Amino acid sequence: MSEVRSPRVHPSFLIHAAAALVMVSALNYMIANYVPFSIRKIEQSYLIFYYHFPAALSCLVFFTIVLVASIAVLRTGSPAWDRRARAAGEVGLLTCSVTVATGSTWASAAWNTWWDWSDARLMSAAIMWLTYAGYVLLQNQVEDSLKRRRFAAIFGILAYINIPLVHYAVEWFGKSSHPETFDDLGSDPSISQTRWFGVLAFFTLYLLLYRWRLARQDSKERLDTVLARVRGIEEGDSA
Amino acid sequence: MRRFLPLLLGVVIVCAPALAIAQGPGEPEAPVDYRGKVTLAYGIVFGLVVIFIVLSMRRNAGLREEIEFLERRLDELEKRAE
Repeated sequence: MSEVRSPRVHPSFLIHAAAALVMVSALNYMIANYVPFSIRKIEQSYLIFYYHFPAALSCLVFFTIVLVASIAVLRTGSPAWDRRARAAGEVGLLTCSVTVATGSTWASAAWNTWWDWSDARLMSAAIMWLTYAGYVLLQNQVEDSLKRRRFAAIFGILAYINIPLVHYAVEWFGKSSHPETFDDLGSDPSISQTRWFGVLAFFTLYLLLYRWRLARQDSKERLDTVLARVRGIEEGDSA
Repeated sequence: MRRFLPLLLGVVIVCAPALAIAQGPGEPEAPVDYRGKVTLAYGIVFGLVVIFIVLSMRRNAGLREEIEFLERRLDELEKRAE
C-alpha cells in the first residue's frame, strides 16, 4: 500500500469547480452592484429571489433526473443508473431545502409570515421536500442492494407525480400568495439578466455537487464489492 | 446518514446569507445597503464549499487508487487459488 501516489482529481472536475466558484462570485457581484437595490411593494427583500429561483429550477431538474434514472433502473437493473438516481435525489433534496428555506425567509419579509398553510404552491413544495427526504432515507437504509435499487426506483417514479402539482399549483388551485411567474418583478433588464445568469451559475454549482456525490457513491460500491470478495476468500479458506 | 450530513450542513451554509438579507416589514430605520457585506460573506462561504468538495474529491481519488490496488491483488489471489 506504500506505493500509493498522491491522488489526482480529474482536471475536468477542477475546471468545473473553478467555473462554479467564478460564476457564483460573479452573480454575487451582480446582485451587489448591478441590479436595483429595492423594487416596489416588496422592497429589498426581493434580492432573495436571485437565490430562490435558481434553487427551485435546479430541484425540478434533479428530480427529473431521478425519474429518468429510476425508469432506467427498472428497465436495465443497472447499478450505474441507480447511482445517478441516488446522487440526483440527494442534490435535488438539497436544492429543494434551499428553495423552501429561502422562500420562507422571503415570505417573512414580504408577507410578514414565515409560512402560509393555505397556499397551494407552498404546501405542494413542502410535500415534495418530505417525499424526496423519504426517497433519500430509503436509499440509505435498505441493506439488500437489489431490493433497495428496485424499491427506490419505484419510489423515485411515484414521487415525481407531485412535481407537476408544484409547478402548476398556482394555475390549478387559483388564489395564492406565491406568484405564478416572476415576470412582474420589474422592467429593468438587469433583473432578468441576473436572474438567468443566476440559474446558470447555481446549476453549475449544483452539478458539481452531483458529480461529487456520484464519485463518492461509485467508490463506496466498489469498496463494498472488494470487501465482499475478501469475505468470500476468507470463507473459502476456513472451509 | 453520516454521509448526508455535509449536504445538510451545506443547506445551512447556503441559506444563512439569505437569512441575513431578510428584513421584516415596517422597520423604522432607512434601509441600509448591506449588499457588499453579503457578497463578501457569500464569496467566503462558496469558496469554502468548493474547497471542501475538491478536497473531498482528492480523498476520493486516493481511495479509488487503493481500491484498484486491492482489486488487482484479489484477482491475483483468486487466480492462484484456482
